[in-house]
Amino acid sequence: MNVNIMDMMDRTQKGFERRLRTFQIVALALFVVLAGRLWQLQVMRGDYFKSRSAANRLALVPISAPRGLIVDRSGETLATSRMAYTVSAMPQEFRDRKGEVELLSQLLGMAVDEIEAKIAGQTQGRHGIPYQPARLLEDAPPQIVLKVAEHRIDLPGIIIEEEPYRSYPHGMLAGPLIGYVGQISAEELKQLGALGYRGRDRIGKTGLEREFEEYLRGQDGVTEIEVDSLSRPRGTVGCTEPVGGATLVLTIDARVQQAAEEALRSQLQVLQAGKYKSARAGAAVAIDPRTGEVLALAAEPGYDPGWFVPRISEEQWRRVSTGASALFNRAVSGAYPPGSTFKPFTAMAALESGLVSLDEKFLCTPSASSRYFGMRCAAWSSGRAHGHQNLAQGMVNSCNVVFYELGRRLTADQMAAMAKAFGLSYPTGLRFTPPEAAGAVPDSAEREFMPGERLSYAIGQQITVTPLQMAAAYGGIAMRGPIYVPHLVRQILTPEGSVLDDMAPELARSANLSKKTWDFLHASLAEVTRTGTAAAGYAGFPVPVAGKTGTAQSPPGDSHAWFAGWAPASDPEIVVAVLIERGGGGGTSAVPVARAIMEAYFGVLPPVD
Amino acid sequence: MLIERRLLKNLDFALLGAVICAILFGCAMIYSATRWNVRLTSSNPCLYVKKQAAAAVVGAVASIVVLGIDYRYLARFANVLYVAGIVLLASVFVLGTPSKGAMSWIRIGPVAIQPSEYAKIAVVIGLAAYLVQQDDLSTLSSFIVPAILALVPMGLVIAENDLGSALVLAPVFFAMMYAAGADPKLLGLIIGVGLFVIVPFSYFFLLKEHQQMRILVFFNPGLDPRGFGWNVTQSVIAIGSGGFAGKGFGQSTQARLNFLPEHHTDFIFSVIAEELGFLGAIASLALLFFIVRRGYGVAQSARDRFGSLVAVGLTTIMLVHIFVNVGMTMNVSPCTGIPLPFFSAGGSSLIATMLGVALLQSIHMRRKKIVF
Repeated sequence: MNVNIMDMMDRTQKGFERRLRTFQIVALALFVVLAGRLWQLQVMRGDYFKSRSAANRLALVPISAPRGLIVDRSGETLATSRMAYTVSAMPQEFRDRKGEVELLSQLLGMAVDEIEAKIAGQTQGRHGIPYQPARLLEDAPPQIVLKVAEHRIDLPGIIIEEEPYRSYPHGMLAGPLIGYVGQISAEELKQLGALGYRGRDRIGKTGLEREFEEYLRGQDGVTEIEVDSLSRPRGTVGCTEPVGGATLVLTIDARVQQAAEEALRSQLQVLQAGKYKSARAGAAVAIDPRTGEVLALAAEPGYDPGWFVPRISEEQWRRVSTGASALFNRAVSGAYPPGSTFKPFTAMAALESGLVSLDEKFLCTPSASSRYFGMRCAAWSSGRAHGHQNLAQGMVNSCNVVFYELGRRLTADQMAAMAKAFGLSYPTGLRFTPPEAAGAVPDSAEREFMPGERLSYAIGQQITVTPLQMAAAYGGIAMRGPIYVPHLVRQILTPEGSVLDDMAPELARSANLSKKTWDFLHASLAEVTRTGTAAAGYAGFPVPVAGKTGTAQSPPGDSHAWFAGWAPASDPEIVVAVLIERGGGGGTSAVPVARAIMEAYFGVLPPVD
Repeated sequence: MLIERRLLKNLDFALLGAVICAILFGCAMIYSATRWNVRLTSSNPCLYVKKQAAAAVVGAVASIVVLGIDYRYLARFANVLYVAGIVLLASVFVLGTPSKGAMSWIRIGPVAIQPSEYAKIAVVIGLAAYLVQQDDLSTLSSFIVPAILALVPMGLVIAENDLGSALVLAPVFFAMMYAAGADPKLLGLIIGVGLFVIVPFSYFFLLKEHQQMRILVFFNPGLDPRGFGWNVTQSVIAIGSGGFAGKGFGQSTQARLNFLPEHHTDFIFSVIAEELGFLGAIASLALLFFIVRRGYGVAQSARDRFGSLVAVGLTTIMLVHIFVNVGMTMNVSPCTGIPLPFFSAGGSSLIATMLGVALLQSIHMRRKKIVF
C-alpha cells in the first residue's frame, strides 16, 4: 500500500475522530448551560419564585368583623350588629349559567341584567377578585333566603353567606349623633388603605360611627384558601377568626336624649302649625357641667341610621339630604347669633370692668330710642315699656335698653374678650364627626365697630355660636368658672367587657371673675325662670332653674328661639342649650323643650294642661 | 436465539441501565403529575403510568428485534427505509387527525402514533448511507443532495403544522454533515445565512401569528403573561419555587392546581424541578446527558463510518430534544411542543427514542475491538 495514501487515510481518520470528540464537548457545554440556569432559578432566585408560586395558589377571603356596640351610660343598646344573609354567586360553579341566572332573577326579584352586571363587576377587570363570591342581594329577607335554599340543587353556583350587619334597635333615637355606616368611597380608600381597608368594606361615614371608627370596626378575620388556575377554590389552608369591635359606652342618657328629640319634634310641629311656618329644624344639648359629659345631643330633623343598611334607597336619600337636611347636625355644626342669651356675657364684661353698679337705674321708654340710634326694646312692640330697671331687672326681663347702655360704655373688644373667656369662637374640643363649627366673635382686630354695632353686639347680634358652645359656656357660668371639654364617650370596652379606655374629665378653660359678679349672675338668672321671660315655661317645675332666653333676629326670616340654663340653680348637675331655627321667641318656643329635657333628667312628671 | 450470546456481552450496560432508570424516573413523575387531575385520568390515578409502561414494553420488544439486526444491513436498505419514512410522513395528510393545531397524529383504534418521531430515524439512516459514499464535502454543490434529503421530511413536518419537530432536523443535519467531513467554513456560512437571513425572512413572511407570538414571548415572557407567555412564566415559577430541595414528591402545586399546563408531557421537567428541587432536576439532567455522552461514545467506537454517522444523528436528535425541551421550561429556548426523551408521557416519543437507543446498542455491540 502506498505510504502517502496510508498517511492521508490516517489523517482523515484522525480528523474524523477529532470531529466526533467535538460532539462530546458541545453536549457538555449545553449541559452546563442548562445546569447553570437551573442553579440561577432554583438556588439563587428560589425564594422569589416560592413567593410567586404561593401568590398563584393562595387567596385571602376576608370575614367581616362585627362592629362594636354603642350603648348609653346605663347600658341601653343604641347600635349593635346582627347576623344576616347575603346571597352571592360563584360564577365558576354555575352548571347552566343562563338557566340559573333566570331562576335567581325570579327568586330575588332582580333583573337578569342586574345580576349579570353584579357578577361581572366582581369577576372581571383590573379589580376583579374572581375567587370571591359576587354579592347579589345583601341583607336578604328571610323568605327570599328560604326560597333560594329550597332551590339549592338547581343553583350550584349560588351560596348564602352569613354576615354581620349594623342594627339600631331604637331607630331614630340619637340618629344624627350615632351617625351611619356605608360602603367605603374611593377617596376614603385612598386615605385609609394603609389601615387595611378594602374596596368592599363598610366604614363609619359620620357621627360617632365615624369618629370612633378605629375602635368600632374590629379586626376582620381571613380565610386562606387555595385556588386553581381558573380561580376555583380547592380547599382551605388556614383561618383567622374576626375580632369584634370595641364597645362605646356613651355619656348620653337615652331617656334624656329621647325627651330632647321628642320635645324638639313636637315643638316644631306646634310652631309650624301656628305662627312659624319655617320652623323646621332645631337642636338641644345637655351637659353635666361638673365633668363635661354630654347627656343629650339632639338635632332635628334626624334620621334612622338603619335606613343606610345595607344601603340607603334613593328616595330616602332625597328625604334626608334636601330641604332642612337631616345630615346637617345643628347642635355642633350650626352657628347662630345667640341673641339675648349673650346678655349675661355683656353684664359680666361691664361688671368686671366697673362700668356699671348693681344699683344703677336705666329707663326703658320708647323715647330712649333716640339715645340708642333708633334701636328698640322688644317689649315696646306690645305697647309696654320696662320703665326704671336696674341691671338685675334688665336681665330678668331681658330689657334691651339696659344692655344698649352697657354696649355704649363697653368696647367691642371687652365684650369679645368675655365671650372668648367662656370658649365662644373656639371649638369646644368635642370628639365628633363632622368637626364642630367654631362660630365667630369678632373684635377690633378684625374690623371696626360703629357705635350702633356695639349696641347690637351687647344683645348678641354681632356674633355667632353653636348650641354646643352655648351649653358649654353656660356650664362655666353655672360652675363659676371651670369649663370642661364636652365628651360623648365615657368608656371604651373590649367585646369581652374589660376596660380599654376610660375618659377622665378634662378642664378646657376656667373663667376667673369676682364673686360679686358670679353671685349677681346666679341670682338674676335664677330669677328669670321664677318671674322673668322663662317663668311661664317653668311654672310649677320643682327644681330651681337658672337660665336665659334669647330671640335672635336673623332677617329676613323669623327669629331663632334660644334658651340656655342649668339646674338645680344653686348646685348645677345639668346645663341645657336649646335652639329652634326660625322658631320665634325663646321664652315660648325654646323653654318648653329645655323643660322637657330637665323633666326627663330629674324624673319629674310633665305639667298637666 | 435471535442474537448471538457473544454480541449480547458487548451491550453497553451502562447505557442500558441509564435508559431503564430514566424510564422508571419518568413513570414516577408522570404519576405524580397526573394523579390529581381527575379530568385527565378519568379517576384512575395510574392511567398515564400504565400507558407509558405499555409503550415501554412495546419499545423493549421492538428494541430486541432491532438488536438482532446487524445495523450494516440498514445501509443496504437505507433507500427503502428513507422512502418509507417519507411515505409515513405523507400518510398523515390522508389518515391523520388534527390535535392541538398540528396534523401530526395517526389514530388507530385507541392508539395514536406520531409518524414524525419514527421518520426522524429513517432520515438519519438515509442521510448516513448517502454521506458515507461521499469523499468530498467541501463544495457547495456537494451539499445539495444531503440538503434535499433533510429538507423533504422537514417540509412535510412543517406542512403538518409541527414546526418544532421539523426544526429538530436542522441541527441533526448539520451535525451529521460535520461528522462526515463537510467543510466547517461552508457549514458555518450556511448556518449563518440560515440564522440571519432565512429565520428573519420566515419570521416575517412564513410564520403564522401564534408562531411569531411564541418567538416574541421567548424574548419577553412578560409580554403576554396570561396568554402566550403563560406556559413559560408558570413553568419558570414552578422550577424556581422548587428551590434546592424541592417541595417533595407529589407536592407540585403548580401542576396540581393547573397553573402549569401540559405538566405530564412537554413540561414534565418543570414538575421534576418543582417537586425534587435542584437536586432532582440536576440528577435527571445528568442522567440524560450521560445517555447522550454514551451515544456519542458509540459513534467514536463504531466499526465503520456508517455506524458512526447513524450514532451521531440519533444522539443529536436526543440532545436537541433534551436541550430544546428543558431550555423551554426555563425560558432558555423558545416554546415548542417537543417532548423530553424518556420522561414526557407519550408512546410514540418513548418508543421512537427506545428504538434509537436500540440502534445505538446494535452499533456498539458490533464495534471494532480496541487493541491495547
